[in-house]
Amino acid sequence: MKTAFLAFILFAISYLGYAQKNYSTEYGKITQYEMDMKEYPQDPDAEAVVLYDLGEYFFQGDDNTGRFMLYMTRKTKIKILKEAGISYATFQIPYYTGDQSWESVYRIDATTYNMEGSNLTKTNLDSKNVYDEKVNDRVRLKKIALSNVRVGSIVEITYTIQTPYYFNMREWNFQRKIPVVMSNLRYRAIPYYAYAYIAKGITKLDVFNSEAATEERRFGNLLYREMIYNFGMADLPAFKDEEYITSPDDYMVNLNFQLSTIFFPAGGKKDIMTTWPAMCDDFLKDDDFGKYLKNVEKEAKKIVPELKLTGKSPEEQVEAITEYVKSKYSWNEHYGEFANVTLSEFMKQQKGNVGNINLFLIGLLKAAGIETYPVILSTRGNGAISQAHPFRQFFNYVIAMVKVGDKTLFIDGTEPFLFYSDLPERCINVRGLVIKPKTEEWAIIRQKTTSVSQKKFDITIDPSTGKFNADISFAGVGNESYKLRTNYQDKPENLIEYLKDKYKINVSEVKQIEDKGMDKPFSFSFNYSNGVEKNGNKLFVQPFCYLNIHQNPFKQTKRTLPLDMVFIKGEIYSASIAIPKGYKIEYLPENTHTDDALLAVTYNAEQHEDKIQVTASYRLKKNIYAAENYIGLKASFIDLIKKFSDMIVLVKE
Amino acid sequence: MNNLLLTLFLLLFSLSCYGQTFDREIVKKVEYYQIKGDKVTETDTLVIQINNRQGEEDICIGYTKGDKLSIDGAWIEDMEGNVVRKLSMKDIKDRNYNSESVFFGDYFIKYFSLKHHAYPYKIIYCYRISYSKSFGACRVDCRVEDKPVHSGILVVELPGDETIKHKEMNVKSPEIVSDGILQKYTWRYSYTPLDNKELNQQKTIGDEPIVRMLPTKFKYGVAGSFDSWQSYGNWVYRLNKGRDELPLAEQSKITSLINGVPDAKTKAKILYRYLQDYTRYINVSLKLGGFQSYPASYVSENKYGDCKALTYFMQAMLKHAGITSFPTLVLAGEDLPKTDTSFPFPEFNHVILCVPFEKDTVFLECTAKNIPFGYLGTFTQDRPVLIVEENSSHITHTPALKEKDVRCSTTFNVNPEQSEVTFKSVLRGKKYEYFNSMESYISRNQMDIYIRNGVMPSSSELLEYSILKNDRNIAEIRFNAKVRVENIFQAYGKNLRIKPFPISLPLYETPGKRKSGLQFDYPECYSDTIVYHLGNQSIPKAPSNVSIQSKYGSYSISYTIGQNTLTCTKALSIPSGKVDLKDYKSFYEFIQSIRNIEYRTIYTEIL
Repeated sequence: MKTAFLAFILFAISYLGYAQKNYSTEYGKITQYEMDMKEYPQDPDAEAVVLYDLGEYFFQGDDNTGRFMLYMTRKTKIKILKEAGISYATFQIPYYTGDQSWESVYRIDATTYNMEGSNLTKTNLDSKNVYDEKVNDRVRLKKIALSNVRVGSIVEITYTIQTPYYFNMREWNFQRKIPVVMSNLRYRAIPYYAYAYIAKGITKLDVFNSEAATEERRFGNLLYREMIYNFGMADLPAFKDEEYITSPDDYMVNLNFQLSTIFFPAGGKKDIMTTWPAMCDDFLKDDDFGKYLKNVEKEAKKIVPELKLTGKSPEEQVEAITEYVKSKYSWNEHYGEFANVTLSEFMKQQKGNVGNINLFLIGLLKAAGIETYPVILSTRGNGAISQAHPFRQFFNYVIAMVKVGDKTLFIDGTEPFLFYSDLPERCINVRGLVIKPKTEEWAIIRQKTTSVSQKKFDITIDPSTGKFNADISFAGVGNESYKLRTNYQDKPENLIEYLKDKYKINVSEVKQIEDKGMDKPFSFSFNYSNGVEKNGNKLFVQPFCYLNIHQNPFKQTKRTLPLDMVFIKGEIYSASIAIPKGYKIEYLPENTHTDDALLAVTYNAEQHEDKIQVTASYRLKKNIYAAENYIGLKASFIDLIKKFSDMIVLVKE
Repeated sequence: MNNLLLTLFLLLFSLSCYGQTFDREIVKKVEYYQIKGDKVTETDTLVIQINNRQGEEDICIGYTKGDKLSIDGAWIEDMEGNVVRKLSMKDIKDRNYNSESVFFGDYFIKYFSLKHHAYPYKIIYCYRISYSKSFGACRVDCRVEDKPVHSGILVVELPGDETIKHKEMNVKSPEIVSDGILQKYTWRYSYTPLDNKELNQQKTIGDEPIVRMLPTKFKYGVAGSFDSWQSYGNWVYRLNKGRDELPLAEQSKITSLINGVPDAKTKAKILYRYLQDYTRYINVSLKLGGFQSYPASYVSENKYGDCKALTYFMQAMLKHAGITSFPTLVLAGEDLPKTDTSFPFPEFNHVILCVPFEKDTVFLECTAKNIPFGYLGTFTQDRPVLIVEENSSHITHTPALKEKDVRCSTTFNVNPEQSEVTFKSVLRGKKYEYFNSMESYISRNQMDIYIRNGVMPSSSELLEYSILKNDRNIAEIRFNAKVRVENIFQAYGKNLRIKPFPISLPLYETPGKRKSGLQFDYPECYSDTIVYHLGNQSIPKAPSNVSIQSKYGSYSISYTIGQNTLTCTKALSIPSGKVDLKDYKSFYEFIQSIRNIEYRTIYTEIL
């Protein structure tokens, strides 16, 4: 149980902030400093600050059931500093309602403190203002809006969650979206339930200590001594959301508890936390995973021969099977690594969750003799998996890993607009566990293909009317083609709307829509005409009709988190501009070419007889960049946007 | 399946496949109301055609605690009419339904999911609700419908001696069958809305089917009548009567706040500020919560409440100060059509407070913490409202926002050397409301993200910004920012190309594509000044000035050359009002010509 903490550096129990006695951790006691606070000095923008957050988790025997119950108490004190902070005076406490036993939230007590003139006033929570909301059949919410709250108020709340479900030990979030002065969890362990602690974002705890309780406790015939652990952190900054990250949960500082072993008083134990190889075996034995897969393989004997795979290369066979699944079965938009309906029901409904669809796909691939394994993963928004902690509840998705020759492909059957070997964004840049018997094998799921947007411009200018006319074609490759295809939905008018929304241009018609397959670029063309920029006898021509990149994707002034761009991506522009009769080039932008580890950029403009050919492109070299690369990328994009926006000047001869 | 349901199914004639422009279509909708005194039962049957994955969503049926809701059947049919899947009753789920604005309420939904892989397909379901309380008011209003309804039927069955009122637009008069014991009204309608929402689309095109029906007498908490707005308002009055008692401590507080203040308006302003600073909006809606306010003592104790509670609390405070005021019902929001004042009907969704003073009348929005006394804003301006007054309830109209209330002005200072632009904006109207609520409700971190990505021009990089409100009694906010913008000036030999800073104008649909007329609920008004600092360069000639006057608005742009500066001054004004579809082309030409000027690059020569 202690091993998870070997890496932690043990610090003395001393919170620097509290050493100043500015704050009190005694429930019901408010200091003058707390009441007088107008802002939190370490973060003057903070709309509220958690002055303390204290938890105590412990077990207590329940005479009615003869079982231990898990209790989780929490005490929190928050200072409201700005109008936007008033929302921190409403609380929503989720709790679980199972078939047999319910969790309960009780001993709810809360107070609002205000200064009325020179008097400190207290407004206690009236129990009739505690509401119970049904979220679904399993989850309810206790909802509490504290009374008499305004800017300057301090609110303090305490409550206890009682649960018979030992699996539901709540994670402890040290960090929040407002600063936290001090957060401490006291956990009184008993010898019968061992938990693994999974720390996220913690390099060191300000407080970590453990001691044996001085007194023994008794429940029925059991006599035991508690082990008391303290986990504390002080002065946690508010978590700041940033663009291009997987999930804020991956970065917020917290401690997650997972029941790992049950020790029976009469001797013996049951391991809950297993090993990865054992977990793989469990998956393969599970009715809704391994047995479902087996059933698919049996059923596949009827299906596969009808797919006319003979004569196809293994890769073509994978494609044919995947396209068969995508065309015949559709996703009900529910995740899950397990099939949630039986195979016969799934085949009848032809609709199912991720587990149903992708396990079905895996079964067909295996039946066709293709080396295929399920890979279970946690999607980007679901948070990262801790490799040190083999718990199945971290996972929420399954895909196929296919070996064809020396190639490894990751396949998902839920998105019909994606090429068979392309993955939806939710599965990319995450780690997955390959399900093989008695094995621990991890795969990093990356998108192999690059996402590229191509734009071509064929421009003629009529100086007499002051207008230019451009035949323009847009094409998308990889994820860019998926985006265009998703916009298109077989309706040309959707592309007209797309051009209007994204590029602010009105076009009357799109033509030459090419959508010959998910592996092919999606392309379409349109005609666009507008006034040419003119000054005296000069024409100023923007070679890409202002439809080039103009927005820097990197706009933050500083960056602290890694930058996850999901795909390796780039854009390619090419333009052919007919020089109008009687005009010659006065200015052509200079050619450039830069190529480093982060980014490649080229710009080339040349005259060929009576035409000017311009090509420009950039390519981001990685899909994940370290935070320290952010400023460099931002500067490069400033330069490339400037360059790509440059004008060609034509002058009357 | 009982007889009534069988009858309903007989009403469902051939279920043909409709065009698939919409993701989801209502093939058939039958609403069957049985009204007997205050007992109302609604039995509905729907056939919905799902055309693609975007059209799939859970089927949700709302009800209130105390109502009895039963779902009598639901299944999927393919386009040949074969039943491909039936809903198992165990798959029906139930939960509280609290919208974003309701902290907690008596509202619930039963919901289920029925999906099929082959499009199009049809979902057919029927359900029955016995209401625990109801006005018996029935309505069809296709102005708020975003899906086609190919065959809609509204049936109302009630005792023969019951008097009802009804009004229909774009719907034939009802078929009426009466045997003396029962009378039955049947309306039939169909409707296809626009498949895309258009910019500044009119709230009503004019062809939408509308049916309103209600018994003239009802009992909802207390008995009432829809004979007139006066009688309906009187019912609201009686339902809320006697709920204005303030605790003694609150009375003393109010007395101390207004002690020595001579005039009523100043007193009201002091009390409004007290309301704003000491209370907040929390909507707990239970029992008759939709219509009956919590007593003033509830707000006094908790210092929170919903719009009714806060409004009645404000009324109670004013009453203590000797000032008369009236709760005022309003259909609030920008996307809804206005109340039809010719037909009393319970369709309001918000309450404000009307305070008549000696020289003027002020309406107070009691749920907003940081707006000036008397500011209504885009949520409630310019619309009919019902003043609730004992025996004298009546319809009146809220004041409209005028140009001066919505004018936004910005001064840009453009310094090409550092590629930096500083600008100072004074924001009013909708933009004031947007910034005001950002400041009140979201963290600085969220605000940074919104402003960086949603407010700033996409080609700029936000370096710093500040939001200032000099006087909370004035409905304006100052937004100052410094941004980096590349390519502001580009010199090509002696030619100088200068980037414009256009007023943000939407790109309207081309006349060939536009299907609805325009509606501007309030004016739009901008006046900007852009000062380009030219460093040590000077230019001999300024671009030409332009002025456009039209019945759709006015626009002007002019340039002046100063010492090493070029200053561009411009103003745009679009009045509130409607533009018919037949005039859309000329409006489009007007707005496009401004857009072309605004987005046009400035060219000049350097001396």
